[in-house]
Amino acid sequence: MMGYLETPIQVAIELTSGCNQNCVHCFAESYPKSPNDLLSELSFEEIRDLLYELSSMKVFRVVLTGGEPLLRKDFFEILKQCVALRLSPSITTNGTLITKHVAARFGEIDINVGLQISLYGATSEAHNKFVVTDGAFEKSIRGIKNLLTSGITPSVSVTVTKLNYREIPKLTVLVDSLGVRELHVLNLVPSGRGRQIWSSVLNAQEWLWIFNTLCHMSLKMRIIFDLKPYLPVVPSGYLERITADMVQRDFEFVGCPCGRTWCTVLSDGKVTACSYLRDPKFYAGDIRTAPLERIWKESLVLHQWRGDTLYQLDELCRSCRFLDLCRGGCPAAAYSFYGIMRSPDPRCPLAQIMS
Amino acid sequence: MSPCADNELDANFLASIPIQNPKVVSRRERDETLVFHLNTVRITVLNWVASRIWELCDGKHKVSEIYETLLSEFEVDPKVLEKDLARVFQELKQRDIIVLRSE
Repeated sequence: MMGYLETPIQVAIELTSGCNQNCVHCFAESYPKSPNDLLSELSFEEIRDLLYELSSMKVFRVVLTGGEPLLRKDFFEILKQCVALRLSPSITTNGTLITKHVAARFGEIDINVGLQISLYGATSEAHNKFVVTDGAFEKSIRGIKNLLTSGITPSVSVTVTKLNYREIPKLTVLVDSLGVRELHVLNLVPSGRGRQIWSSVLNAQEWLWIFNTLCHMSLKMRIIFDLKPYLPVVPSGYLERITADMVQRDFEFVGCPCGRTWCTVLSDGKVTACSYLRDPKFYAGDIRTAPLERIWKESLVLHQWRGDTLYQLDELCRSCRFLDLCRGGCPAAAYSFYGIMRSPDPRCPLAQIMS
Repeated sequence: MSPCADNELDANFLASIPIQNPKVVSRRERDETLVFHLNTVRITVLNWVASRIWELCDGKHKVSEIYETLLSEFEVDPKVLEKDLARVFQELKQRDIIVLRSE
């Protein structure tokens, strides 16, 4: 595909900056907030108008996120608008608010609703090292079970660090036994509170352990792993498989999609290329003052972002044999860690060795 | 009716009317078309020739009429077009982004 699309195919909307958890690694730095803390958030009418615009722009997918999106009392009204406008909804949630009643409401939606629930371990103790909220693990598991009972199969995501990567096999067995069919294994992002626990980011040997363990487990289980290891850690025998998979995908935008095929609208209406880029200097615009389509097409911030990250990579990346597949990894992680978005992704094993 | 196995166009197939599945959303992106299936959440990319075929899957044209239209618009060997058209429709049908209606 070309450098960037004329309009995005996916837009993430952070419905709220509030959360009922206080996770140690949250890139959005969400936490339980009072109503007064949330006064600047987009109203239902503003979100509805945005959804109309996304529909007219032929955006395919809307990610409803936060914070915890289900904290919004008008969440299902927003979801219904997405469905009515044929915007495919995807929801990232901690699952703790998915009661039987809430799950039944999801079950009433007649198009595919992608629900992704975050877990950090297979036990309350392991999970709570991240979420720091009593009873959260049991509530998240209950949410998953309620969804399955209502005919919705959620996926589970896990952010892995040194604190929990050895939990992955037990977590996999747990979610597979519940009936979950997809596990997203995510890396720590050095944005927001993730910066504070950066010393727990995985190194190459730990990634290799996860990779080998999950490859071995995948032979015996039905669950599908969504794991994007940094390519230098992948044993050569597997590389051809990964490469072939990328080539066979229907629509593959190699490299970072942010600002090129995706963008994010923050809870106060500010637009950024990426959810991880929360520094005001990366605000591309504000949907309260300009249409998103104009922001996408005319924002100097987005144009600079697209140009910088595509063509001005660090020498380490430009000389890397995986450049065509990786394109330098996550520029937001590079910026958050080094203050320069053209730097190598700080989670890349090669970059870790060189630094 | 679907295209026959050897990719030639049989009479029933030629008389059928292809329609875009109402469960898809599509958009033009420069000289390509992106087709998104709301249920499979899969995006299919159509090149400029397939995009023209896609435009003609409006429920008003039989396959035979689409064939004639393409023959008049593109410099192409009729036999090659037959095979290509059968292959494209087979692919679109497999991906559930069109349905073929019999007259």
